[in-house]
Amino acid sequence: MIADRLARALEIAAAALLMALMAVTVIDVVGRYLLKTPLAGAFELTELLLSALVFCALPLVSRARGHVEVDLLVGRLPAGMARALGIAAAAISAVALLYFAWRLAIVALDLLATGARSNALAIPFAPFAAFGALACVLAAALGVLRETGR
Amino acid sequence: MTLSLIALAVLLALIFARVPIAFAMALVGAAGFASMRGWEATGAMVGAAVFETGRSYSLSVVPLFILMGAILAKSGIAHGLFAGADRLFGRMRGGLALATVLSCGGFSAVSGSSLATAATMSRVAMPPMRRFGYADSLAAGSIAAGGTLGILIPPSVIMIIYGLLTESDIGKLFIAGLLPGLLGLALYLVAVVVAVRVNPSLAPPVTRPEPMSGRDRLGVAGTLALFAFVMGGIYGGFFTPIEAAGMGAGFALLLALAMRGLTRASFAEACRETLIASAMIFAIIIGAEIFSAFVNFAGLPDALVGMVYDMDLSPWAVIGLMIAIYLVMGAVFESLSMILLTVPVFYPIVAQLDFGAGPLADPEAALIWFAVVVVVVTEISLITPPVGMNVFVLRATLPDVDLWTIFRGVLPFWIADIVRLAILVALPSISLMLLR
Repeated sequence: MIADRLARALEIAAAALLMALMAVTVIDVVGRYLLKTPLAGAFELTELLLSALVFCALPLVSRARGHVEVDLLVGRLPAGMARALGIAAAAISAVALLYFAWRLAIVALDLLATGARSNALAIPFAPFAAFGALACVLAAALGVLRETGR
Repeated sequence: MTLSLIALAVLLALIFARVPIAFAMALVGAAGFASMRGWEATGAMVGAAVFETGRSYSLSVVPLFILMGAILAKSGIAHGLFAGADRLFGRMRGGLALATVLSCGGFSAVSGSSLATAATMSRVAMPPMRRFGYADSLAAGSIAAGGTLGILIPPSVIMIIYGLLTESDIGKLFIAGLLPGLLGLALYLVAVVVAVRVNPSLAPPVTRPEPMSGRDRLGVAGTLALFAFVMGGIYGGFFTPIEAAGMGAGFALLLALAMRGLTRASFAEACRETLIASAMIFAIIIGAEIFSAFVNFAGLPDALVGMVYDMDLSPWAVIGLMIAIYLVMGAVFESLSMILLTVPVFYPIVAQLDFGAGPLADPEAALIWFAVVVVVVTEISLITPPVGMNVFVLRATLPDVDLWTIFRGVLPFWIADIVRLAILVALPSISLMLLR
C-alpha cells in the first residue's frame, strides 16, 4: 500500500525532527554553561524544526484517527448510520484541511515573493509553508481513505 | 452576540456528529469571521494562524514535554514508583490503594498525561491489588482518580497552554500549581483512608510490601531527580520553562538508557505516540485560534463583560457560574479542547472582576489563581460520569471490570476533588502563596 509506505516515511522523518528539536535545546543550554558558546540561531532552528515536525505528523494523526472527537452520540447509532456519519465527518475535516492547504500555499507564494529568511541563519521560510500545504492535502486524503477504505 | 450563539450551536452540532473538534472550530470560526469581514480577510487570518502556530517557539514545549513523559512511561519507572510507595504505606489498611494514589500522582506529574498514567498504572497496580483481595471498585477508582493528580503538578502542558492563551508567566503558573497539586494528593490519600474505614470489606487488613529491586530504586531516584532537575533548572535560572522541556526530554532519555528499560521498538513507539499527540494538540490550538479570532471580532467577550457589569453580579457568583459551565462541559469535552474553547472568552472577564482588597486584587494574580481553578475543574471532569475519559481508558485496559464499578470506586475521590475545589476557591492564597 502506498499509504502505508508514506506513513512510515513520514513517521521516520518526524521522529528524526523530534530528536533534532530536543538536541537543539540541549546543545544550546549545555553549550551556554559549559563551553560559554550558545548555539547560533537556536531560537529560529527550534521554530523551523517544530514547523516541519508538526506538518510531518499531521497526516499521521488523520491516519490513526488520533484527532479528539466526541463519540457520545455516534456510538449509539446503528452501524450503517455511524459509518455514513464517519464518512461525512472525514469529508468535513478534509474541507478544513484543504482550506488550510490553499491558504498555506498562498502564504508560501507571498514568502517566496518577499524572499523572507530567518535572521541568524538566513533559512528561507517559503519551503516550510509549501511543505505545510502538501501535508494538509495528505492529511485530508488519508483521513478520507481511512473512512472509505474498509 | 446572536451570531456568536448561532456559531456555538453549529459548533456543538458538528462536534456531536463526530467531526474532530479541531476542524469543527476551524470551519465554524472561519465561516463566522467571513460573514463579518469577507473571505479575503478570513483567508489571511487562517493562513497566518496555521503557519504561525506551527512555528511558535513557545509551543515547542508540547512535543518535548510529551516526549519526556512517553520515554519515561516506557522505561519501567512505574513499577519502581509503585513499589516505593508501597514501602511507605504497607503497614496501613488499604496500603496498596494509598500506594497506587501516590505513585499515580508521581507518574502523572512527570508523564504529564493522565490518560497514559491510567493506562500504565492499571497494568502495574491492578494485579497486586487483586491478588491481595482489594475490591475492584477501590482498586480501579484509585488508578483512574490518581492519574488526574499530575495535570496540576508541574511541569504541566495544560498550564503552558493557559499561559499562552492569557499571556501569563509560565514559571509562575507552574509554581502556583504545586501546593494545590499536593493538596489534591493529600485529600486523595484521606479519601482512601475514609473509604476503607467506612467499608472495611474494600481492602484486606494488612499486606506485606514486596521488596524493591535495584531497578525499582533507580526508577524512584530517577523520577525525583528529573523533577528536581526540571524545576531546579527553571527556578535556579539555568534555563527557561520553554527550554526545560528539551532538557527534561534529554534527561528522561538518559535515565531510560541507564535503567536499560528502552528497546528500539519501545523507543519508536514513544516517538510515534509523541508525534501523534503533539500534532493533535497543534490542530486543536489552530482550530481554537481561528474560532477565537471570530468570537473576539464578534465581541462575545466584551458582551459578556458588559452583561456581568449590567447584572451587577458579585465576582464570586461569576466564578461560580464559570465553574458550573466547566462541570457541565466536562461531561462532553476532553480537557484541552474545553480549556481552549472557554479560556479566551473567560479570561477577559476574570481580569476585570473586582475582588476587592486581598490576594486577588491584582488582575495578574487573579488570572494565575483562575488557572489553578480551571485545571482542577478539568481534572474533576476526567472522572465524572457519564463520560470521564480516565474511566474509559481504564475500562479498555481492564475489560472485566464493569464501568459502574469504576465510577463507584471513583466516588470518594470525586468528593475529595470537590472539597479541594471549594478550598482553593475560598482560599486563593493557597495557590498564590509561593509566588511571593
